[in-house]
Amino acid sequence: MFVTKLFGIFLIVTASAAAGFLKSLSIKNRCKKLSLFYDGLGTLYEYIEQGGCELDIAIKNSFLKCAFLQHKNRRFLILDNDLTACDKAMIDDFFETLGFSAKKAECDKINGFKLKIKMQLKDAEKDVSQKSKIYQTFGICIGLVVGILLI
Amino acid sequence: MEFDNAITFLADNLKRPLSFIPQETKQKCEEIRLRAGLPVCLTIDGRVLFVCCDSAVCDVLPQNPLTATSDDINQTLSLLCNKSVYLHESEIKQGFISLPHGCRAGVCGVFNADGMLSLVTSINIRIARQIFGCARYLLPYADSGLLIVGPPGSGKTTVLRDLVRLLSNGASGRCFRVSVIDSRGEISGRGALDLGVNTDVLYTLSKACGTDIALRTMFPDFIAFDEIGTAAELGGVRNCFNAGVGILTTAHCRDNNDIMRRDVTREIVEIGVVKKIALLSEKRGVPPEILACEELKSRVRN
Repeated sequence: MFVTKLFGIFLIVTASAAAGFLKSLSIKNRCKKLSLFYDGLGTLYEYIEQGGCELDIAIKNSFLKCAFLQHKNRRFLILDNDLTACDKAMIDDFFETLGFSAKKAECDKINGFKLKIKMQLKDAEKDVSQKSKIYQTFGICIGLVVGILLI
Repeated sequence: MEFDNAITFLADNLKRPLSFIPQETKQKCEEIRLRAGLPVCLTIDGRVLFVCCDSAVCDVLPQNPLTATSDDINQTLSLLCNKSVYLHESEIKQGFISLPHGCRAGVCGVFNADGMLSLVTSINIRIARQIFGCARYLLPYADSGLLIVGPPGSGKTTVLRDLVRLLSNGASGRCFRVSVIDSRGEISGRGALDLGVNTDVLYTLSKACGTDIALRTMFPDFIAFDEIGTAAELGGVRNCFNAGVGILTTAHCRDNNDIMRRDVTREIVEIGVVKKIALLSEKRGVPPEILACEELKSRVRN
C-alpha cells in the first residue's frame, strides 16, 4: 500500500515537474524560432532587393530553417505551438501584405517588420531569463506540495 | 485555348462568367479590358463587345453587364504579377506586364513621383496567338529585311513571329540565323511560342541596346523586334544595316501615307534599310499590300 502511494506521489511530482519543464522549453523554443524567423527576414530582404525570383520562392528559400512555416495552396501556414497567438497573427498579416508593391516599399515593409519581430524577440528573451527558471521550480514545487498533501 | 490561358490571370469574380462565353467568341477575342467600376469589354475584330453576368456577349451595353470592381482589378494585378509586383516594377513603370504565352497586360492608373503605379484603374490583357504559315506570302520579300506596318490589332506581331519562325526553319530554302529582341516577351512568349530552330532571343528592356548586343555577339542574318518607335531604336537599325544584317520590324501605320508622315518609318524608307514594306489590313483574311520603298520615296519627291 505504502509503495503504491509512494509511486503515485512520485508520478504526480514527475508530471508536475515535466509540465514546468515543458512550459520552460516552450518559452525557449519561441525565442529560438523568432530568432530564426528574424534571420530569415534578412535573407528575404536580400532576395527582394535583388529581384531575382518570385515571392513564393523567395519566402521558401529564406525560411528554410523555419520548419514551423509551411507552404500550402499559395499561402504560408504557421504550424507551431510555441509561438504566441500574437506572433502568429503578426506573421500571417505580414505575409498577406507582401508582394503588392514596388521593390523599395517591399524592402521598407520587411525592415519595419524586422523591428517588430526584434521587439517580440526581446520580449521572448526577457521571458526566458525571467520565467523559464520560475516555471521549472514552480512545476517541481507544485508537484511536491500536492504529494505532501496526499501523504 | 489562348483565351482560357489569359483568363487564369483574372480575379475569381470575373474568371467564371468569362469562362462560359461562347467558344467562337473565345477564339476570336483579341483583348480583355477591365476598368474599375465599369463593364468588362472584349475586343473582337477591332469591335468592342460587352459581357453579361450570364456570360452572353453583346455589342451594346447590356442591362446586367459583368462589371469589374476595384478589388477585382487589384486581385487581377496580383495574379498578373504572380503576387510579386516588385519583380515587374520596371515593366509596370512602362505601363505593361509580360505574361506567359506571349500575352501582355497593359496597366493604367495613378502613377506616383517614382513612376510606379500607386493605383490601378484599368487593365488590358492582349491575347497572343500563333498562326502558323500566316507570313509565308512575305518570305519572297524578306531577303533583305522587311518592315511590317498596320493599324493596332492588325496582327503585326503574329506575322513577325511567323516570319521569324519560317526564316529560322529554312522555309525559304536556307536556314537563317535570327536574333529576336523581345522587350515585352510578346514575340517569344518567354519561350512558350515557336520561333524556329535557329533563333536566339534577347530579353532586354531597350531594343536599341538589344540590337547592339545581338550584332556584337550572335552574328545574325536577321534581327527582329516589335514596334520600332524611337530615335535610339532607329540608330540600332542603322548599325544593323551598316553591318549587313537584315531588319524585321513592325510599326503602327494606318496606310502608306502614314508611313511617310511618321519620322521613324520615313527614315527607314529613306535610308533604304528595307526594300519592301508589308502593309497589313485591319480586316482579317485580307492579304497585305506590298509596298516598294523606292516607289514611296519617289512619291514623296514628286
